[in-house]
Amino acid sequence: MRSRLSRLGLWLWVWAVLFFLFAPIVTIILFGFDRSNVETWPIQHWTTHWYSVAWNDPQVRSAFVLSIKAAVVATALSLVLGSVAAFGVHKARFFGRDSISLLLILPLALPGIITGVALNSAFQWAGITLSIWTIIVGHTTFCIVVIYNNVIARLRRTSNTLLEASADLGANTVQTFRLVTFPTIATALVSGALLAFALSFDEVIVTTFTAGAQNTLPIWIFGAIRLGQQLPEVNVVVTMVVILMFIPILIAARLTGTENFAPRVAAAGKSD
Amino acid sequence: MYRDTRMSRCDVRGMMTNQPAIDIRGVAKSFGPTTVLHDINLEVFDGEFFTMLGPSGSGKTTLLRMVAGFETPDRGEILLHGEEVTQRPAHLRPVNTVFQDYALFPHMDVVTNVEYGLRVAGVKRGVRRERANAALTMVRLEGFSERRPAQLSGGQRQRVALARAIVNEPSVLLLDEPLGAGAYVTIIWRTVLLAVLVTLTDAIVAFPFAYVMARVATQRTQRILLGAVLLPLWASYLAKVYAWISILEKGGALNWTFSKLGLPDPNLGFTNGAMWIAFCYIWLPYMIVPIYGSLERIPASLLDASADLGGSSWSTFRRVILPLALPGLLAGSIFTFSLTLGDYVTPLLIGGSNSTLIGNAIYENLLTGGNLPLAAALSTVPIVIMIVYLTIAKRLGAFEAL
Repeated sequence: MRSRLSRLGLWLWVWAVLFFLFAPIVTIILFGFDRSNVETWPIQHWTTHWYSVAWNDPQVRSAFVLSIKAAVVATALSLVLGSVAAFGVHKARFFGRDSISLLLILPLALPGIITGVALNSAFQWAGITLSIWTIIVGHTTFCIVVIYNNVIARLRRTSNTLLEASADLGANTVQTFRLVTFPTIATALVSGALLAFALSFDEVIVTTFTAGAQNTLPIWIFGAIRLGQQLPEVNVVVTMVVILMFIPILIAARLTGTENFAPRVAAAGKSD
Repeated sequence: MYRDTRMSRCDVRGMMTNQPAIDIRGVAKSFGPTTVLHDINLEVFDGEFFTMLGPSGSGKTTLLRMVAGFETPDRGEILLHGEEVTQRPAHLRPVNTVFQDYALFPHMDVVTNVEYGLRVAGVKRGVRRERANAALTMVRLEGFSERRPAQLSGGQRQRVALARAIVNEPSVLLLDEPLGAGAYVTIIWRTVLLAVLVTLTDAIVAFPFAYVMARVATQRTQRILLGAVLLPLWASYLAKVYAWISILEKGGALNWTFSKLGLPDPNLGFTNGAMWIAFCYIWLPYMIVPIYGSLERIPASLLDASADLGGSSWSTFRRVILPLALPGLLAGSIFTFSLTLGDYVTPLLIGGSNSTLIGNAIYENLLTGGNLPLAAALSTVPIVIMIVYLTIAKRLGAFEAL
């Protein structure tokens, strides 16, 4: 009897948490269809007008394009750097290896503002003007971690005897990499890249410190909310961002399977 | 703040005189060889709340001091409500200032400080006491009248300074960087306290949920629940903050729900409470996932063994499940704690006037104040806190659960 009661309590708790998790997201999507300029609950009149306003807004468009560009380049850079780092740490045994693996994880545990301040000071000190490239460098710092984590997890699960078998059967190092190593880590790379893209696309904290006059989409949203301007448009843009981010995430989850993927995702998501 | 300015500009301009409350015309000022200000022109109208931002040393304080009458410009003139006051001494101007260091008289108690302006203007004792107490009530410091400034916190001193300035009903109120020194200690404490509060709340909310996911639900439900946690985790950060602004503000769903239930409006919009809710919401998935991970790894045989040895479900929970889930709990707390510690976007967007966190202080000093050394010094605070936290967490095995 008591256990049945506690079980009921637990499930009630689960439902309450689910409500807490999803009510805000649903609210924001609904407000995108609110005809009124001023948000008031409950919504009285419905419209899709704000979608066309946002679609035709040149500021939103250019911010969107910049965000996509920055995310693509940052993802590409971190694919190279992150996987090389993962191979290095996994394969080689060298002095300071443990410190390097800690250094690679550290950005996960440090607040994003620290990365932002550090980069901003470094750019100022080196006399580099802030541009799309400084945004990309900023985004790469945390995207690398996602790729690194994904690849090294896969490498750790790949048995060493596979590579030995390949060598035993007469394949040289390059052939082994092309025919065995790369195919085994391919899905990890793809899912890592998708997560990195999503992270970069949504990033605001590091970006404020590394962007000059340019607006990425999150910076545009941040500014609009802060100034209390174009709020109906913000609802629409924010809804689109949520949907756009879900696509790569769902594909990534498909590719690697949620089981081993979840805790890493949490770690990766840290950087936003 | 921006909203207020624009509204008052439209409302006031049409109705009142066209004369600006403050009119600065071609003002220049040098100290020795360095020119601090050259050719400043500025109009501020009645009812406007005007903010000047600029790097330290850019002359904000100098300009304020010229309006107040502590400095005279080398060139140009200053008009208050159309009256030329460029050469008029400070005590003859209808201007009161809240100083950067508050400048409270240490040898007078709070109420004597506040009534000072009225006293030197010759207002009778009874009247000025009454007005001073009214001003103190306005800044919510009733009951503090007998205290000395040294017995007050930074925030309370600031409010006394504000009361002392407004009690004279000046036509212009100047506030010189109300976020002065000393306020930083308050900010650090507030940030750490909030991070602890958010972490504890998330741990309490997350644990039963993660427990059901890991040990009660069927495999199918488990998958669905995991997806239900991961989707909000990856929903855009700004979308989540903005959603809570919409829910908590005056016309939002929360006030609506409360009024339907016949309860008074909670009016949580733009308060520290709003900030707490938003943070708990945004970081909750980061807490659920690692706890779930560590709970799921507990072999069922351990729980059976505990039951077999006579442990009730409660003592199994307390002596077996909880200790084994601790690394996951700690791993989650690293996220919730560190993320709250360094955030400045959420406090800026959903917080109120008292919601400044370390992140905001860093952001302001770096981007709007240009005070790089101070920003760097402030940045070391979260780093040091996180290093201590990580060392403890590592010792307790949290890293394996990451």
